[in-house]
Amino acid sequence: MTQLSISSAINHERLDDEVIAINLETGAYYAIQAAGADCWSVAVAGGDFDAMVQVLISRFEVDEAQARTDVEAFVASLLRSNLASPAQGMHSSDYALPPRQPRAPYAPPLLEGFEDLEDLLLIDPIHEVDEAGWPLPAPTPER
Amino acid sequence: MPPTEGQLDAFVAAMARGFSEAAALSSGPVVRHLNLAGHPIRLRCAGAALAQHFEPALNHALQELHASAAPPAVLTIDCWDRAATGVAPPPPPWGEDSFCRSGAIRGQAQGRLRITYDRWIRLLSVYDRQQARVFIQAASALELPAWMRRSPLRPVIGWWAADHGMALLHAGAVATADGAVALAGSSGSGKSTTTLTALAAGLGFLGDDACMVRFDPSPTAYPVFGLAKLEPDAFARLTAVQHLAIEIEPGQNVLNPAAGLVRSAPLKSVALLEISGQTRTIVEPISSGQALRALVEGSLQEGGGTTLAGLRRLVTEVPCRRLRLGTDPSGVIAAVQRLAQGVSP
Repeated sequence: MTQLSISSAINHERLDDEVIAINLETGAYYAIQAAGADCWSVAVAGGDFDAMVQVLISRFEVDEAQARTDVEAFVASLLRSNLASPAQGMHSSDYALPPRQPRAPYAPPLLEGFEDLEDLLLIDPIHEVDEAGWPLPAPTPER
Repeated sequence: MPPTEGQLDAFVAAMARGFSEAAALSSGPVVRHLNLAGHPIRLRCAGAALAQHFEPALNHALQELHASAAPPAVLTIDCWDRAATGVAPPPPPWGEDSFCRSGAIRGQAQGRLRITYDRWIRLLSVYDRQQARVFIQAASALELPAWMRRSPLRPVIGWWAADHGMALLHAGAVATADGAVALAGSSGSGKSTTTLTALAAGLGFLGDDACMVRFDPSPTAYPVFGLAKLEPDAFARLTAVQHLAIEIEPGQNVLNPAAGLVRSAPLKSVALLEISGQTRTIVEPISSGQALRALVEGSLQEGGGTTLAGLRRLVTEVPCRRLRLGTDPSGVIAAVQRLAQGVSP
């Protein structure tokens, strides 16, 4: 795994130990806590998979094997939800992480999604466009 | 393939030509000078019906100025009505798979251009951040939903605010002589009822569903839309505000509280509303993170103009509390008045 690029549709902010991310195209929003928020900050700064693992080991009570397994699952969830995609680019070692007591209690990084699945998954094809090429409303089903 | 920068430039230029053509066909645009949160804004509408659609909610911000006396606008909003003028928008420079269900255009959520197209009401909104220009193209002003008259141009005002150190909140706001309280919460949480209850008790009105917060030099609340709406049971209960009712939306209790409108007030607290069902109103502490989540949910529910950076700034700079609304109005007002002092009751 190389680095991650946060999707251009994602608006995100970190507040203390939580990241909130909004997909401006779908309206879905996500919350990421503690270890996950640290992984996110690493990804935003251009850090790669190994950097995320190292940050977790240095800041939480977790061994490397467990951290690798958890980061892999976390990154997979980011990719699956289209929050990020694999990338290569500039790498910073300044992750702007908030201070934390060394070796804090650990919970695996987790992506908490608040998605309207219907909106995200249902196909909503364009049925018709006007003469200028702009979509028209779908016809109302006959009862 | 996403459009190139050149294609986007050409699209914006074609929108500008479309507006000019529509304005010429409607004997010149209706021009209004607004002042929103201390910022001069120029609103030009080609098509009288479209101008009438926007005016009731924005009347409070109208500046009766001759064009030569108007200060330079920081934002120009050009709107045209296709049905009234016969001028179509230029063809979209992106494919059909770029139209999201939310109205967003894939790839145009955060860049130089912010664009949405609501296919249900056929309303196109284009915000050019570099040129400080907005283009609105409505298929027919007469077919826009009546509820939009209470909060016209909401997404573009939200986008513009986010670029200028402000946040458009999905929150009501009221003020005392001490300061303002933003009343946030999802639909049905009691924003309008609390706002109008406060108005009836003599507090100032800054909005029942939206308000603007300007952060510098210190957080200050401003009205954006000058109208309010009450559900039938609240309208029947709040007899003191019934005389403010106006007829602009069939079947809805829309109020015009112009006399109680406050131009601005220092924002002292943000209250996240919940209906408790109990008699007493209770104020509880809430963490910044909890407040941010609640505000994000409310903002997303509302649709456009979500400003995450602005919401984050709000919860870190302004005290936030959970306000569990009781059934006794005097308890609600007392709690709001104390929150307006910036202290936790």
